[in-house]
Amino acid sequence: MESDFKKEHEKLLDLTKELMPQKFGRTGVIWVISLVVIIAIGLVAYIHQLSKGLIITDMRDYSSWGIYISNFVFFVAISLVGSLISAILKLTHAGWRTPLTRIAEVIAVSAIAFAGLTIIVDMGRPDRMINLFIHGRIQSPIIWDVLVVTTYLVISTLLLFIPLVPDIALCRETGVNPSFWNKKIFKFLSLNWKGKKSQFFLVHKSIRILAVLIIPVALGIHTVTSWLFATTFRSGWDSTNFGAYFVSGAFMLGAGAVIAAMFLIRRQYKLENHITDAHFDKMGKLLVLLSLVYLYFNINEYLVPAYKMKHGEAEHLNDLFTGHFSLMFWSVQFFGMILPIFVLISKKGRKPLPAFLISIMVIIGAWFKRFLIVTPTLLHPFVPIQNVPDAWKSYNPTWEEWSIAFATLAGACLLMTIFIRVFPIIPIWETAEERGIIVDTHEEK
Amino acid sequence: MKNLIKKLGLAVLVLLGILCSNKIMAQDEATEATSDKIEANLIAVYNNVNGTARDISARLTKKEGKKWLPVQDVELVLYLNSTDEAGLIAKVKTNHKGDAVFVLNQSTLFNQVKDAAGVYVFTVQLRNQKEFDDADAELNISESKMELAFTEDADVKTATAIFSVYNEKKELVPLKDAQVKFYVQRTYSLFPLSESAIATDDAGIASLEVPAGIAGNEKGVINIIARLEENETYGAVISKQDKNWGLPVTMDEAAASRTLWGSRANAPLVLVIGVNAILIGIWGVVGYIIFLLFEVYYLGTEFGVHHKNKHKHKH
Repeated sequence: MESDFKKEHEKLLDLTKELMPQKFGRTGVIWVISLVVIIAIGLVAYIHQLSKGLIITDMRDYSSWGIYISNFVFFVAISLVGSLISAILKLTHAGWRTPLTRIAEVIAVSAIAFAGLTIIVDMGRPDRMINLFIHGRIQSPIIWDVLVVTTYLVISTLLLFIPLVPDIALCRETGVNPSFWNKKIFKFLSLNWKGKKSQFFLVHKSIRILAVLIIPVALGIHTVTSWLFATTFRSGWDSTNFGAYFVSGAFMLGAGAVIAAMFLIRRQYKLENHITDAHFDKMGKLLVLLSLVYLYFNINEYLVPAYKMKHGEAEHLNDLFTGHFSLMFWSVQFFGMILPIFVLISKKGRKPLPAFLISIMVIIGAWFKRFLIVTPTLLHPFVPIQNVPDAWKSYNPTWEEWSIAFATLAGACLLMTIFIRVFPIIPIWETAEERGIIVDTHEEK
Repeated sequence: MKNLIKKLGLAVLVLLGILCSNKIMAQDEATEATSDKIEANLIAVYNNVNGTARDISARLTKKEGKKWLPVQDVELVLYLNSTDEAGLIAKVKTNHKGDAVFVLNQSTLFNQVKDAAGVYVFTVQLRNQKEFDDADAELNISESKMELAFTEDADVKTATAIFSVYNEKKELVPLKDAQVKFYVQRTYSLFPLSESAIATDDAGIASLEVPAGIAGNEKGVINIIARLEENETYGAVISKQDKNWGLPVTMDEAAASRTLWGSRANAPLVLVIGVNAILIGIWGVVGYIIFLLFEVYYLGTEFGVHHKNKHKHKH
């Protein structure tokens, strides 16, 4: 019996060595340096913004929300993927999701952390953040958003961390990454893990509870974010459909982000045996489904008001369809939604490279989609804009805004990169369980 | 020879002229070199409220493009009668609006020289600033007195301001043709009771019928103000008094009730309870998960071995 356990444990250690994080090659190093440079430029811009105030942005009385808020909505949207892969697919017993769960969760945690940071950036005076909690009105959707973002961050972090504990213990045991800090970090984070049945029982139980809990919170976070817009009386936002519209868009973006990350990680770590073409195929199908749902909501959001063309709405819609924002609007609709459906619907389109390229289109399209939700509406208030400087009638983000927005995106990517460098990105023990390797090999006397 | 002397003299004059002009140019350059500083606009006003609260309000602004912008955090100095140490009243930094207020009643020097019939020379100075040229604002103020009286005859309610100044014999005499304006204090501003100012008569009196229907507090009290508009000799002289001539206004209960658009303290109970119940529920589960993590840690210790039976039968 003891020798059986030893054999199983050796198999587990072999799998661990295969899935351990590896040192980055030249491409990885260039990637990290590029991210650090972008973040540094963003920091300089942010210090400039802190010292001079939000006047250095192009946000004025009318376009009072700019690319910071677009970026925030983008981050919140992308973070929903954690609940899609880790919770919804888990509860529907989609076994193929195992190698993707951690990728989805790390995207979710990084995105939601930077969503919070972006809000602080948009506030202009970060020292006043505390006032949201001290003086905030519970009636305000902004307060609901603060509460739900914080809650979702904590739950996502737990959902990332708990399945990681047995893997951290395995990393500690194999000693493949034996640096001083790795040892210290692994010892601390492995929570005294011995691989006991009782410990596995608690981990399974925790994951099951969190998988159920995260679904309403995830739906809540993006629904509440949509209410930031929909609870105000403005053309383009005055919709009862906004919650479902935002959530469907978020799932689509999240699925795209996972495909992009899958492709890059598989290539960097040579994980073709674990992240297979079948995974791209399934994720591709999922993305088609989610794109169709999102397309449906888009038709609802634009066609119904366009049919009526009420005075205030008409100016906004004309600006989107044929006016100043038309190129961006139709590019987003076509490249970010329609083209992915047509490409991914074919089996060849769901091969890794085309799926990756389409997912990049989805991500870029999704970012600009959020810009189109925020800015054109603000520039078309129901009360006419008059007696104001011409510059207030348009919104062209300044270099500081672009730098800070790019820095937050780079920051989220860097956080994911560091995670992938330190921790195994494919869940080892769950993969072992799927392959029939006994993971709870520790004898309990 | 004479011609030669004439020519030499002319040459010397031309040379002198050139040298002098060079010197002037050099001085101009030097002046330009030191005139990197920009001009600031400094204005000061003397305020006398009810003869008890006196202050000098100074405002410092600078020109940027076509706008005059406030200058913050710059020290202004107020002198009384002489611009030396003996006359120094106070130094105050400007706030974000560019304002600096010198409260005279708090000044020992002012209280020492205060005289009912006093004539004061106030000087507000801006000095030794890297960015700005020096600037002064001088006020020659004579003491005066504004009194406010009220009469009520049937439905006619009249506010009367009596404005008096001191003559050479230091006697209080009424001043004719002083421009007095009446106001009612509102939350954020003054509500004028007449379109234009009312001139005082021979007895220094300016009267105004106070219109009915002005909203007051819950007892109908309004604060009526008579104000001598900023005057070079007397400053801004104000008298204010409470009078129950307004309409009693009680707070609208509907505005104070628990609504979605109400204040933080007036949030609907359903919302407060609902949101808090959701939060407690979710964070309760999060707390339970963290407790389970502690249990995972505990099971890994030697003591945890004894704990195993608890979970064993569940498998």
